[in-house]
Amino acid sequence: MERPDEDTYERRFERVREHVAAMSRRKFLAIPGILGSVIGGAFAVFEIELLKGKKFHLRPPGALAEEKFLATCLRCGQCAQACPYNSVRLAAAEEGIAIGTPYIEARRIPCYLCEDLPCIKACPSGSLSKEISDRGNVKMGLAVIVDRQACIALQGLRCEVCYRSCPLMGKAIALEFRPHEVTGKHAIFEPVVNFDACVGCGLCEHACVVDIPAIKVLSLADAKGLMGRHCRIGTRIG
Amino acid sequence: MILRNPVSEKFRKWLVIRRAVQISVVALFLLFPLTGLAWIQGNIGAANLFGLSIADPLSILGSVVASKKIYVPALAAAGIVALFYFAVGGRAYCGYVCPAGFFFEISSSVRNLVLKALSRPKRSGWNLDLSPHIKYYTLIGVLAVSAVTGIMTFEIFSPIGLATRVISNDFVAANPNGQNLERFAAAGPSLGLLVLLGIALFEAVFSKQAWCRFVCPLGAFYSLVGRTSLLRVKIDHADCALCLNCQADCPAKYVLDRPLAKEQTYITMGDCTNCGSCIDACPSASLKFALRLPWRK
Ligand code: SF4
Ligand code: SF4
Ligand code: SF4
Ligand code: SF4
Repeated sequence: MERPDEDTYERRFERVREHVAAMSRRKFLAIPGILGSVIGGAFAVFEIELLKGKKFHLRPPGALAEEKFLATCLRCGQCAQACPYNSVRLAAAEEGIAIGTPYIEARRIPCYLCEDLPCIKACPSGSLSKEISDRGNVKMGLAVIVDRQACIALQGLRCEVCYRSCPLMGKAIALEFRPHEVTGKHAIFEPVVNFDACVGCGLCEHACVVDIPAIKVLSLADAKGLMGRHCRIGTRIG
Repeated sequence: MILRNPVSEKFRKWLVIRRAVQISVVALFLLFPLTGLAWIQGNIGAANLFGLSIADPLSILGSVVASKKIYVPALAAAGIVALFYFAVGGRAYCGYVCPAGFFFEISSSVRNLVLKALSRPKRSGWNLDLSPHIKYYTLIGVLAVSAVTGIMTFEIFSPIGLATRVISNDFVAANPNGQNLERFAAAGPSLGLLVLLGIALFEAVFSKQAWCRFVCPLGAFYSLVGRTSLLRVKIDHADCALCLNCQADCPAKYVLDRPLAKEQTYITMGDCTNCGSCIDACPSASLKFALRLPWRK
């Protein structure tokens, strides 16, 4: 005879069935979920829009424009692992929406602009564009003499270090000579960046001999001006 | 939940296998940064495995949605991975591969150790239980926000990304990119590490594996994959005594409800991670892995 409190198979089965029935009667409240995601989503959109373009990161060669880059880079670090000079690091969590993306700190280790561009080859997402096969076509940023007073060449000393460090020496950085107006007999060798040729690898920024570099790689947007179409330059040849 | 047999002494085969796989995944990703041996490069988001490009399908989906462009090699890399988990069980990713899941699983079990030390029963204390549906809203949410802002959104706060970068890029002495090693020495743990530890602490105190069970959009994605997956746990009702040992050990108990109630012979719910805990726990060997055609119940 079965005792009423005995835990028989039938009783267990009954409990399991009741539980399943109870669970299928329970409705998941979709309204709070939808409400929550809409509010959370709106907040996230707002935050991200605020954080967009806050800081310039020097990206590895071939990187798409920043917005496109943040839309496609998988933050996998394969470019960083492929770089023989360990130039590429991944952004820390402090970097907000750029977290995990690769960047180069030129003053620490610049991009040495490898002939075969292994970083581009390693990228699985097309964020480093495979269309760039010649290192001369790379455009990571533009080098700019940001402080003419800190540049010792502009103070009349012989330096040329940035000029000599440039992988496109003579093309991306040229030296322009002019007489030193103070002494009257010396010359100033001014490093001048040609924006059409500069790839933005940061070798000059890395090499600059003064304590805080007088030449820095800036983003294209920060470095470039625009002449305006109505300007006619009669002296330009060709 | 009543007839709990003392199976804890039993050799838990699937637990051992699972731990071995979880540790191997971490070790594999450490291999290149530590030794330069290029078996696998990259991290869990996208990697190069013996020359084969593989990628997290949700990551690729996010990038397609954000950039409104399709990059075929990336799609192929994601397709291979999606197919793999279609075969071995969607959330098998969570149970065997995900480095964040592994970390949270281990850190959450601190809770059990503490309870044991206090000689309190296993499931006592705070136990925040939310709906497993929340994660689908997170999934839709991150994709929608990616589409609107054009920025891959999940990557910004993903603990999986944080964890995988700790493994592949941070605490690796041989890798001069180990920025957090330098920083760790100079300024203590990075923000990313603090976030990971914060989630771990929350889970240890309030709710075991809360991120994985309720929030994770990648878990939600693989849960959808798992609904039609080929490898699933099968229940043989003939010997099942309904002791419910399996359910006691299952990290997603509700997936066993219908199979136990004899409404199904396979576990079909996507939240089953194929972890095999139920198989290990069953005293009558009524559960086993089996091949299931996507439409079979
Ligand atoms: S071009 Fe060479 S040095 Fe420059 S980031 Fe790529 S791999 Fe590194
Ligand atoms: S290899 Fe490409 S996808 Fe991966 S981190 Fe570098 S740029 Fe991003
Ligand atoms: S739920 Fe998310 S974090 Fe947890 S194991 Fe699965 S993928 Fe990883
Ligand atoms: S049903 Fe079994 S295999 Fe699936 S999650 Fe639960 S314990 Fe793991």
